[in-house]
Amino acid sequence: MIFRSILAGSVLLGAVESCGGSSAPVPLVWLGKAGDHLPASTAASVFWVQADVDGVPGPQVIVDTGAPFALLNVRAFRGSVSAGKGRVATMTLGNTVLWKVPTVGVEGDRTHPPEIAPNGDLFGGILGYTVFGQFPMSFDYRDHQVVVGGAAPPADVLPAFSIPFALEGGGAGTLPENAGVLTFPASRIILQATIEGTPRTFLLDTGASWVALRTVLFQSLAADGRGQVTDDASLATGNATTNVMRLRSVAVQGIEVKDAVAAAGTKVDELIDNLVAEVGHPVDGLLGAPFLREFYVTINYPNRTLDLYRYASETHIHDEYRRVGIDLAPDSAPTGNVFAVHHVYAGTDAQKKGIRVGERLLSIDGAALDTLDIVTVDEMLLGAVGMTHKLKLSTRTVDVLVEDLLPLP
Amino acid sequence: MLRLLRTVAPGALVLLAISVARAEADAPAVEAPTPRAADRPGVSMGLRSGWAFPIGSVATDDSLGSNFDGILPIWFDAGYRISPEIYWGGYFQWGVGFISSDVCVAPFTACSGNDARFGVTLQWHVKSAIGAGAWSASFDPWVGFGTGYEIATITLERGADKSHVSYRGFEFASLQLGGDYLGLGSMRIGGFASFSLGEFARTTVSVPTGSTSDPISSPAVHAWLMLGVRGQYDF
Repeated sequence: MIFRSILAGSVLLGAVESCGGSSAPVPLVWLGKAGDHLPASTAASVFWVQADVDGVPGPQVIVDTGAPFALLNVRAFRGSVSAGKGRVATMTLGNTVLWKVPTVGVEGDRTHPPEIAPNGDLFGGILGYTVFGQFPMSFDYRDHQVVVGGAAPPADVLPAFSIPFALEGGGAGTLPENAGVLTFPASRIILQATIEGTPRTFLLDTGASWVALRTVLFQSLAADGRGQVTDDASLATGNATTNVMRLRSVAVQGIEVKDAVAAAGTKVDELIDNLVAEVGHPVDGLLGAPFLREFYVTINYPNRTLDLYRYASETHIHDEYRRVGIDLAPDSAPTGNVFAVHHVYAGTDAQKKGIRVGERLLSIDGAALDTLDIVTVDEMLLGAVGMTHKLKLSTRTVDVLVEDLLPLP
Repeated sequence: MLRLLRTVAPGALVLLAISVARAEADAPAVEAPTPRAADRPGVSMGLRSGWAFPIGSVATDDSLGSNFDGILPIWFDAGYRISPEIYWGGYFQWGVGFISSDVCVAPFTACSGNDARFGVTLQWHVKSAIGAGAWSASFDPWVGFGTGYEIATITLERGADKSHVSYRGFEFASLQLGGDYLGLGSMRIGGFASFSLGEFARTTVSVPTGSTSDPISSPAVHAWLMLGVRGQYDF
């Protein structure tokens, strides 16, 4: 499913050399009001916001605390961003105007797919630390917004757990597309997390749709026979097939989240290896949305504190692996959006009902899909385990069970 | 500064008139030429203006020319003529900065800037080097060297929102070359060129949440090449 799995900018450069990069971002000049609330899409459980360059409306980009700098798709910005190492005079995020924003422009394929953003336009790339590292940044998974600058949390969240952090890493690395060497500041927020009772080391990463684990750790946890599926992921190094399973518990300083989804694969290992080379100590994975989305997350870069405000309710959390056992792919047609079955999970009720790859889906529970986007349609396939959705395919209508694709034993 | 010149100049003229009167009273049979102020020790004050062209970088990967198209300066000099050849003093320049369209783009509604420089300068007036002659009697070429400090500021606006950034650092050297016309009594006018070499070491950013001052992590050398005119009054 095209927007399920992103491990965006966790590590972007080849041959990273750690050299104790400064933790100070380029002190950007900005205009606006502190606490600017940017509306965001949270497709794939990462934050997509519109980034305008030099006053020209731009594409959606991912706000990624795992990325040290801005890696932007030159094609998506239609000439406003130059290829290679450079900068833009202004970048506007909501009401906040940033001046002289350093950028790395790539031609497209190396900005790691998805090539299409949730709004249907080209994917603009990712924004990292050198764009927002001077601000307190808040990520509101429930209300779908990113808050730039200090702002009070919503009224209906629980008191914060405050966790101090140090920024790690930084150094120099080779840019994609032979664009030279880039020196970048320390930007990595490394946390100790306990995975099913064992302490591990993680990178805090709002650009990760999953908790990402090293393969060896993933396999040791999966040895109990828990359910797994393979799924496509968009990594910094390109598309990859990953194995996905559910974790019983993930805890940071005693703050526990259950049933978080984790992924592993060869390219995930490479990504973590690069991160290890940069920070100079072992790292076991990336702490992404399955943990973070239970909280209103404030990363106060100037004060070096992470505040986790647990939401009073979890109704905003949609477990993407408790669903009808199909993935869809979008297509555009003159008559409206069209969605076809892209993948059928083995052993699911969907497979038993004979749904096949390539079949067109016309409606879900009586709701026509032609005016809906892929993110909305995908969410309509989710639900509580045991319920059914009525799928109208091009040739028939079937009731299909919602199942947990990643059951724990 | 202009007011100061107006205040001082009449007094100087009075002194000059008294000394001329005394000279006439004590005059020997052969009339001696009146020494010009420029030929004796004394205070000098001057004004310059022109156009400064940007060279080099504010910081690594951030050229001065992409920030400023140029500077229109007002440059004030005050110093002392130790001898007809040697002058030393201080200078203060404030220039209107013309912000480059490379960095002043939408959604900014206005961008402005200025550049302030101040320091000390030493001039060697090399009139003796050009020999005697009718034309050289009124022409005073000179070379100068200065050093000081510089603060360049850019202000960005979007409607009522406004933020500033300033860059500051030492001016290592200001190399100057000029020539003055001396045929106006105590006033001299001329043209000059200066090449001031410096490096910004710190930046101060004033944004809606306050001001922060930080060292520039990757400083770079920059220069201003200035061409202009100047006037100086020798007391």
